[in-house]
Amino acid sequence: MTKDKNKKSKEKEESSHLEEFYKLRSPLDIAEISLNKQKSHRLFFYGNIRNNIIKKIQMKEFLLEKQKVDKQKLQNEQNLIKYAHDHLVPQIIDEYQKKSCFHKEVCKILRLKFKNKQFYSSLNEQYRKKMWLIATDAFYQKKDNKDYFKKILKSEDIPNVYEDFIEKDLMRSFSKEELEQHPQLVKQTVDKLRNVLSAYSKLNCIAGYCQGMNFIAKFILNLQFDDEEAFWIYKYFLESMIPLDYYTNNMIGLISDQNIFKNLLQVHNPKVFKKFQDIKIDVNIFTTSWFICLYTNSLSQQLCTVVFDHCILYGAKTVFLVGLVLLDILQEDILKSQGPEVLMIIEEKARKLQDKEMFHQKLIEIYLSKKGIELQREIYRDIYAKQIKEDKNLNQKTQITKKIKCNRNWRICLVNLHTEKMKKFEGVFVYRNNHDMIIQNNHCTLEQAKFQNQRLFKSEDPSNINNILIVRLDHTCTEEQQIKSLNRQSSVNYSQNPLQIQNQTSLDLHQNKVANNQAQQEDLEKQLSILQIGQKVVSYYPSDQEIAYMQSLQKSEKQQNCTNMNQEESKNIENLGSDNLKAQKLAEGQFYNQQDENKLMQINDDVHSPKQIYNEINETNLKEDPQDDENIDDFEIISELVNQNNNRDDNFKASVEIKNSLYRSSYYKFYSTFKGKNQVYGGLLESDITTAQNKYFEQIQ
Amino acid sequence: MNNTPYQEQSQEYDHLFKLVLIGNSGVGKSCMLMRYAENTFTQNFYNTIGVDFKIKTINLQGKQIKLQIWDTAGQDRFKTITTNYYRGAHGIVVVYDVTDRLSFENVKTWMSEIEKYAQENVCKLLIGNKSDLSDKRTVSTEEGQQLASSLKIKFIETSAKNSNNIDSAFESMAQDVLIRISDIKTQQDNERRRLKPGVNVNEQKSSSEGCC
Repeated sequence: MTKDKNKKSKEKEESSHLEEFYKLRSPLDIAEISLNKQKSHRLFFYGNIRNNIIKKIQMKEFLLEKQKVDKQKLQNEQNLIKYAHDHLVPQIIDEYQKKSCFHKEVCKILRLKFKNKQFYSSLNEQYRKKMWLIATDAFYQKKDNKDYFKKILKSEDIPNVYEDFIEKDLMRSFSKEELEQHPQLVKQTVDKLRNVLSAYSKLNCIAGYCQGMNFIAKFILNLQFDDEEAFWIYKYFLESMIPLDYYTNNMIGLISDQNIFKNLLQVHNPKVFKKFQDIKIDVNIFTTSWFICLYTNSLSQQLCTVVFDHCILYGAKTVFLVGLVLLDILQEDILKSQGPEVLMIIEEKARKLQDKEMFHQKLIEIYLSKKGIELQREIYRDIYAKQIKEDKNLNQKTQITKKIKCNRNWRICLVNLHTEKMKKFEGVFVYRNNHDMIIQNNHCTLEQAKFQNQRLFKSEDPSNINNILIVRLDHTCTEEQQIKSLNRQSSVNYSQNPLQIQNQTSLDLHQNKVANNQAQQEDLEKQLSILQIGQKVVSYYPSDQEIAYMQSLQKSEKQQNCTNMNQEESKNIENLGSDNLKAQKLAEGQFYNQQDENKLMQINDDVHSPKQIYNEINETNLKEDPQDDENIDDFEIISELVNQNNNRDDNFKASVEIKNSLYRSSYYKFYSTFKGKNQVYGGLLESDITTAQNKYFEQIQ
Repeated sequence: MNNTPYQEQSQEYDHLFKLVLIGNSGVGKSCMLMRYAENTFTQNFYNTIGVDFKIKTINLQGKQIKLQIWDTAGQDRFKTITTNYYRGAHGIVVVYDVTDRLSFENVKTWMSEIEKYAQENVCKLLIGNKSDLSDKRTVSTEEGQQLASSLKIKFIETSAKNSNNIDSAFESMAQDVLIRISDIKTQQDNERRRLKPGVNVNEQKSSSEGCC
């Protein structure tokens, strides 16, 4: 009885949270809540709408799984805390270097450690280097993708369009003092810098090279990494830290983040915000370079290391926090100034700041909810995507520095890359941020691909590796634009049906399913452009042979794992299991592609067992920034809600709903779900919310 | 109180002109600005991210004119950000590099950007920079002149390195803006009396006083 009462009171409490959540409308409100720990915990975690939908399902199996994992999690957590307590920072780093990839765990432990100011200062240069290598996964990437860096540098089957841009900016990455006082050092660094930048621009042709990236790379090199290590760290920062549409896609990501920053500033430091308004200075003027270069050209080397440490340990929200802290520190100067001169004052004073410990301290003092940021990002991305779409002026040809002719041997067609035709292919490039990924045979032989695929399914921590899914574009260049044409079989099928390509590139069939659902409602073109928003973009093509090979490999591994199921190794296998699932989905996806879309959907829904849903939920959680502790809360609520209700009839329908709603939680994906329909409501559809709300209140009664 | 020179400046001008520098990456926009505003030259200056700006106050026809010169990033993906600053500009300077043929060929693209985003009556100027590098030159002065006259805008060759023509380029720009503004002013004065060129000085004064 008492339990029932507790439940009811909890429900009531929750419904009031929900109501509060619905009231949230403007991004500014969300910004306000994001800066408040209590509120954001209550609203973003307990008041999430998707819990209502999940509530409708009974999943005992899920619960059992969940309990097991909970226990494990709790124990792990305790172990971690104990471990962090018992060891010194250098010890921790050394030990983790010996283990295989556990970068999420290292970050967690170090975060616990660094709450204490003293421990942070104990991180010397030597150990900082080690920490970066482990925590950004560069150490393992380098190991697993042996010689990749050298190969991509030498590789001639990718157009090196950004060469000129890079060359122009190499010397411009150094300060006047460096150029004058250490010409020798500069000379050495320039070569490394060139390697890092051009390797990455080849790896990811769409993002390529954007001015500002040079400062990030140079800063990393300044910490005495060799160019290969620097390359992997650089890649980690660009792909896992910053949304890649900071640099591509008309910089929608940057613009929306600038708006979020304004909102945060307005709440966090209204005095400074008002001052900027009074003197008619747009905060964006300085945040552009702050965000694009991750502060590397605005702060001293000392403080930059703090910024990067924090990025590694605490995730992307650091970008905002650093800005807020900087303006806090410079508050007095800003309030005194009279006009646009304030910009120069900020620039000058920010560069002079040196006190690392103070900066670290200030950064941990401000609370900022990651989910709050994500909600705002969704809203702004939507707004700006619409705006830019309407502004046809922006959708125009890009400059090509050199007049290069396209080469059929290249993995990517220059014409696609550089002209308006590119638009057609926007959907082709699928990159998933939050997914177990690895460089899959870029420019390597089948043998190497095999090796890498093995690694893909063995990784112990699925969230720590960034997968790169690369597709080959069909060359659309005309004879004149080519250097020479080869009789190489190009993947014509890919370009014929963009949706099909998505299926083939995305390891997760559910993304496709969401996409397919969409396709039924919206026209194809619309959807393609949507998919590009917020997605990270890379290029690669598997040959038909390779695809077939990968399929067979994945299938056989799946079978192996099924027979090997063993409870003792449950943790490991769980990961393997989810990987399997992906593989299975991939295989199925490819198989069913040729069939009716509806049929495809049915089959996949039937297959959906509670365990798989659980796995998915698990995955969804991992999609969030690995550095964010807050995610744990989700689990509790889901299980609780599931526990309360026994409606079997709706099981099937609801499971679909859950999946969809779960996808919404990841802003990249869910962007496509509500685009073009109704009004945006904190990232959810208004209609969705009302139906869910009704259902919810029915249940309570 | 630390910024007395700034304060004096902001209170003593008759006009405020906003100028924007555009052109391909690496043609020397920032260097020109550095030379003009601070009279310094750095061979390899930081590449500009987004926008940057400098202020210089000059005396023209007995009037104090405050120039707010906006420097922009040259890479085209920054256009979403930089084109925002075209709108409020009185004058736009398109810069190319006389040793870089491509930057010259791109002038037309930049001109079309201006048409799309800037005000209709904005003053324009074409500058061929790096005129000191005569042995590396790939664009002749005549070509530049020809292009400018076909676009019906003024043309000047400069060198930020040896400071050649930099001052006169910006001053002629300011002159043009001044003429255009007074043209408009007299025009509009005849119709109605209400135009305020640039930012209203009194307004700025009062707001800053309120804060201190």
